[in-house]
Amino acid sequence: MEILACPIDKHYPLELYVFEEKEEIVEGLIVCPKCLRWYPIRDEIPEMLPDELRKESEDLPFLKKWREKIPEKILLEGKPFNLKRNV
Amino acid sequence: MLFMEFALWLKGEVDRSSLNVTRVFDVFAERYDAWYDKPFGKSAFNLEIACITSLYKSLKQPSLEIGVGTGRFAEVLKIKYGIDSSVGVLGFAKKRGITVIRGKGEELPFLDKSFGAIFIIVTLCFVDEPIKVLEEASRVLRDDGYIILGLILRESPWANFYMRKGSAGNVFYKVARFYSLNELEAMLQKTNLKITEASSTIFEAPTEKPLRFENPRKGCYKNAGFVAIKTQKRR
Repeated sequence: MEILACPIDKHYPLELYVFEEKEEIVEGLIVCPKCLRWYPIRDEIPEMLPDELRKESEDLPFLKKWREKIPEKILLEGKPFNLKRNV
Repeated sequence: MLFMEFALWLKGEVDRSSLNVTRVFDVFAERYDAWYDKPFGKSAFNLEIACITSLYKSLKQPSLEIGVGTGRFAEVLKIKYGIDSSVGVLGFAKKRGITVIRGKGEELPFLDKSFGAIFIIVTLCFVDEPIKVLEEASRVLRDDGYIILGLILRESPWANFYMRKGSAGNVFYKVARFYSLNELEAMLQKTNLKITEASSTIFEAPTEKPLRFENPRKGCYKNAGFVAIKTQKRR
């Protein structure tokens, strides 16, 4: 986290939300507070891909799975995908 | 070069019509990784490592490899961070002790001036926008840091060898692009990087037999099968 910046607007620092933790963070969320892009941590790997490489079919289920622990702003306004239509 | 050999290895075994580079690495991560333990792969890898390490006395930290793949180079070179767009290969790199991040070289998710050393090894030929990757690498590099590129120049007989062997329809050759030394120098010029040192290896004529070990030669030889080029920011 001490060197991670948003790949799109290069904002630093980013916010970290931990959902599941063993020796490392297994699942979690990294958020850019400036542009509201969110990046998942899955299988202990932070995925910081630009929008065009993101897959809605994989990312929406992730948001739904952890919706109780994700800030409402991200659920409703997060980029590149959010749950606004589903709320 | 390792990747090109791997491409040949897969040749004819899969329907590659719908695959792109990221997808290929996702699907074939395990087999790609195993290739490094085969006789030719191992011999080429050892020569390339010797070539790269001849360019520095001690590795500056923190260090990053862009296009880390399964982490073979990063593990031996003791590179701390690795980034790759293929999630399939990153699991391997992680097991090798590298801190991995999934991301794209053209849009690096790092703070400016974070790294002392950055490696781009046999990766530039596969990226969509090499100039953007170099710009981003330069952005996240400290002013006193260096970037080491590992590549096959287009002038090399090895480049021709792979091009010839990649027959029509081989998707690997559609996505790979070898750059000439002139093209590379122009890209570095544009991105405000300068070459400070270079080292070359693999002087045998193209072959599929294991290569004899020899010490790398100082300088950038166009006929070499692999060159390592050290660059730094222009002041």
